[in-house]
Amino acid sequence: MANKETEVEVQATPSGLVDSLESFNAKLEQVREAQKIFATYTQEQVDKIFKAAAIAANQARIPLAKMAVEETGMGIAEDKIIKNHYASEYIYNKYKSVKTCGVLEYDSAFGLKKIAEPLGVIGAVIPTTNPTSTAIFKSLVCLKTRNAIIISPHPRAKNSTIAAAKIVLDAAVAAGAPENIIAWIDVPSLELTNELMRNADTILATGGPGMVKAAYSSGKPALGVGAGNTPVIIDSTADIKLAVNSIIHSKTFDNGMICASEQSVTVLSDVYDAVKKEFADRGCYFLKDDEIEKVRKTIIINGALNAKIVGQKAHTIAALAGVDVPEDTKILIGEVESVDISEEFAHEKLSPVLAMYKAETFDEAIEKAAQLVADGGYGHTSSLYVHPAQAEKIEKHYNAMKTCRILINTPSSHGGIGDLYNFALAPSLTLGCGSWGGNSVSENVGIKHLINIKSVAERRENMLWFRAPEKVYFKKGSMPVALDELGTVMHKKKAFIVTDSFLYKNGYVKPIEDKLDELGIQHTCFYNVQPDPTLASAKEGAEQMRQFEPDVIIALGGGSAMDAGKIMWVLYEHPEADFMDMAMRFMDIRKRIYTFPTMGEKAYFVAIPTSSGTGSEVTPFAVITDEKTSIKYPLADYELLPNMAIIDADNMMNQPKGLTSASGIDALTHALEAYASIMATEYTDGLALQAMKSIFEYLPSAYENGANDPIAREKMATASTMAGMAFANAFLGVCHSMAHKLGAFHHIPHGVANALLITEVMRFNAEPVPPKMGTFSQYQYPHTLERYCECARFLGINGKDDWDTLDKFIEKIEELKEKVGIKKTIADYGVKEEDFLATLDDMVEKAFDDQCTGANPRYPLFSEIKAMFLKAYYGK
Amino acid sequence: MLWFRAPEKVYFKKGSMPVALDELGTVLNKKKAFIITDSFLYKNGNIKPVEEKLDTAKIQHIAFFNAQPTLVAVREGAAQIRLFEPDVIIALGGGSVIDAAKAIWVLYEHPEADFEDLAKRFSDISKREEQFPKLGAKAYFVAIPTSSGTGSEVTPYSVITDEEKQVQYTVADYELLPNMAIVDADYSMNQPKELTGKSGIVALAHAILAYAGQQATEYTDGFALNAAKDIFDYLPSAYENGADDPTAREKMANASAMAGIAFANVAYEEVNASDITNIIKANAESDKNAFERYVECAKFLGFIGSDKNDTFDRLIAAIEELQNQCGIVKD
Repeated sequence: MANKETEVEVQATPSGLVDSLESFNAKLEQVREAQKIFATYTQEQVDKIFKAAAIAANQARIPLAKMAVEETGMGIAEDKIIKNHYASEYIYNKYKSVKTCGVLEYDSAFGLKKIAEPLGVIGAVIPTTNPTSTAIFKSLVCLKTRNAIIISPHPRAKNSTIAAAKIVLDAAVAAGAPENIIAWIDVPSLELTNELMRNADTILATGGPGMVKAAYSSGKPALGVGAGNTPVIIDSTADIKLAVNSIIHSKTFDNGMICASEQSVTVLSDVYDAVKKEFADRGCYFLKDDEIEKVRKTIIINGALNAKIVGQKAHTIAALAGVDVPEDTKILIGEVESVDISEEFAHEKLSPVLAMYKAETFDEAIEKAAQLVADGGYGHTSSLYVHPAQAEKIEKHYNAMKTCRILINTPSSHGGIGDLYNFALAPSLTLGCGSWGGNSVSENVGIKHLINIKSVAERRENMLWFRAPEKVYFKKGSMPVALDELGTVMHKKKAFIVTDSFLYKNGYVKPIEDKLDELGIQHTCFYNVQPDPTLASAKEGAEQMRQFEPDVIIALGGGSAMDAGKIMWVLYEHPEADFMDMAMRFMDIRKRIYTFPTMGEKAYFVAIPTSSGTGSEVTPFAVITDEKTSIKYPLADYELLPNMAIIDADNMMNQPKGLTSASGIDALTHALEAYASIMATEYTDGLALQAMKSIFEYLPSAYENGANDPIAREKMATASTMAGMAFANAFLGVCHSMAHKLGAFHHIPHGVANALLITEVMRFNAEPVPPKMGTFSQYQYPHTLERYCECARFLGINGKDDWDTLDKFIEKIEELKEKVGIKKTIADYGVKEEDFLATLDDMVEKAFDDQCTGANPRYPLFSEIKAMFLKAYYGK
Repeated sequence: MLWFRAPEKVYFKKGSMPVALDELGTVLNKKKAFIITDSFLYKNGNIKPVEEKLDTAKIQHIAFFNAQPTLVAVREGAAQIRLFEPDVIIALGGGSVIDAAKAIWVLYEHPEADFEDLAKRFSDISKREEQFPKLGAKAYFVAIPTSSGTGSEVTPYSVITDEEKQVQYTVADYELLPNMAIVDADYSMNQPKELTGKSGIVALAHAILAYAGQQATEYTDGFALNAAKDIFDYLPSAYENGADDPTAREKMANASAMAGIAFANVAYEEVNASDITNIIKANAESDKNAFERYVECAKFLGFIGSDKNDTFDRLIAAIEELQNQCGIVKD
């Protein structure tokens, strides 16, 4: 329990009243101190106070209502009693069980905790139209949220306003609240109201546009309200008795002083007479021509509402205008035509005076209502009486109305304030009007607007994954066994083979075709795939697919054929797909803007590599070149994962030496980059290490001996696929980014390009104090040196310390490169110096922007990429 | 021909469950989920976050919380699932629950299936003369393990006991692979000590046996070795400290899944926490190749002796020490 007897040195006000700047500021100090204490209270303490205050306000509802009418000369006591009752009971009921202190919610899976704290000192401006009820409402919601409140009453209603505030304060203090938690200005003035607004932490303003504007100009956050000019539409399908009597009930409530009250009613012509009759039968007076003019000149004077009519009954207003009506007249109704602001009846009247319009069509009625809202009720309230099943009309209406409350078949005073005629609309006496009314709130103001919420976010790591093709089949000679499933298990009927012309002409497709024949599967072959497959050739293949309508696609070849096959697959399944969207660079593959379409609805995809290799048979990637612009588009999505991969070393036995070497180093780079990646996980690490081990052990022999060492070929095949599985999940890094551009600009084969850059990149990544670290929650601190050493040690390389181990590791890699015929520098591959330098800046920027850069453990600067390119070019 | 097979999607990380489960709504458009768990987990509120996530995704759900790997319990679950007609099954629990759930899945998709018959025809993953009935036409299968563990969330195995006949049926087919596995350490955080110890050793057994198994391949080797290493490194703390060492819990969760991935691709072998060293010794004696593999494994783990036999002995000793640390009495 907080100590409410804290000693505070404050200059006490001489008369105890707040009637000057000095006394106001003294009071403000006391209130601030009280609020600081109140801010530490527990939910239990707060709820006890809230309840006691609500009870006290409720118990005083009658005397306060009478006092308000007597003091202001406006309204009806019996209605003000309801308002006070509502302000205490309904507000208490709505918020009694709502948490407003301490931890509001805790999501343990995501590690997010939300904590509520009060705003501080609330400056409340109370209107003369609803003095006691608004004071009660604002005080109660402040108490529930541990805020202090200083009230600035309207001069015309100051006694009753202060009386209400005092009752709430006394009850709160008795229940344990600090003294001075509620305060007020005893002698209101413009100067003091402005001082309050300038010093409060938030302003709760109720009043007309002028007052709202002052609040928003004060420099402090404000929750204001605006003027209402509620237009009602009575549609042809409305229940006329319900409509008319609801309007009368609402418009006469407290003599029309609720800001949400109806100001005009627009009636469809086919029910106009019936409506008019009902109004008349129920005690409303229809002004005759000259009477309308008299009333016009009485209600609005010099373009502004005449204060003398506000909250007065119909008979009094008529008398003021020199019009004779029965004593018990409910509402004065003026049948007018113009909805323009020049028509007095089109204004807000805050009294039982109603404008009535006729409309020939529903659209016309809406037009009129919209204009009336624009005349002076932007953002407030509008109302429609219509048959509830008329969904289309209701939709038309709510689309057109620029008001934050749209009430269907409901009296708008009682309806707008909430919880009386609709129980999901929050009860409130401060109704937000959104930006249309110059407010920052567009709903009924409640406790949620009076708390600051602190979010405590604990570090969490992004979900990661391990994904591979459904079926990865391997072993020398496995291809026919695996392909068998296409017939016996999957009952496929038509196969479309994609490959390149070299493989086709050298008979690599024949065993596949033979097997398909055996299974009775119809087949055709597209073999016009180029290295660096183009969009044009993919489109050509897709067109052939569309004509052939295969239910299985078999891509046989190196990365180019498999990638081309994947792209054709996309175009075949989704001709409408947009490449630019698919190729859009993403920061996080799970948060990307584009949703890749579902694949596999038409055809099953089998990938059979013939090189070791790109690993494309087990990755979700495909790279396609737009031949018109020479731009390469990398596509990445797990929808592109082949359904089945068949790694049969028989297909790789006769790789030419150059291909063996380039592909082998490419696979090594895959493994190295996947291991260093910020997205590496235990699931991918094992695959990467095993791949590296095999490559070091077997690539030299595969290079030297080719088909004469079938074991080496098979080990390389496995290594390539494992490396593929690793980087399919962990992604790559800046070496590949740079290799992509080196290849694109200077036509160096992909594997060679990687080979020329990898050791430079390794040294770059190993720096323990990099200028920039990769951004990914699971990547806690730079540790790539250690990671490379883990690889080295797994391969049996040990130095005297980590740097030495890295050096030895790099030495081994260089040794391997030499053994398989990789030259030392980019220059050695015939790239002229002036050509290289001319393209360098462009390559640097494009490499930076390559999708692979994002996973690099060290986030590279342009200058750093440039430096690495230069080193790889010159060799030093 | 050999293969590498794993669930379509293996998702992991502490806190990943709601992110992964989100796909059921947004990507897969599922409408009705049948949650399968055991009464202990149910009463302790463990499935509540799953239910809340399904509510948010507007997926109707019901829970069957008497999941046990017995024919009677499986039939009970099958009867309930047939009434509810879900399009997704979520199995949340240890190996028993997930195994039972797989069996219920089979009976849901193929009411006429007979376990005795299936076990006879499909117990060896490497011998496939005929086709296992296809699964997935009616329901997608998600497995969320709460122990680390049998790895059932990533394996094609289901072991069901017919208590009446006192017979155990082992069904093994890749149709039984869950479509999605969610390895979220939040769900294994509060494993009781005894369970932590036993499950941890079972996972270790899977890893080591998978490494030495006849169908071991380089694809599975990486998973097996890394799993074994992490288990040696983190099981003691997971056992001693439980939820107070969330890192150890997470390492164990992933190690169990990785061991499962390896184990899923070699022939099934029955293990329990107390007789693992006996099995390893017996294997090493009857199969020279297995012996060599155990030695390789030992070296990777850092148990290096003066010669191969010594290295092998050190491996055995290390396992026994780990068993001791986890309160497991050796057979």
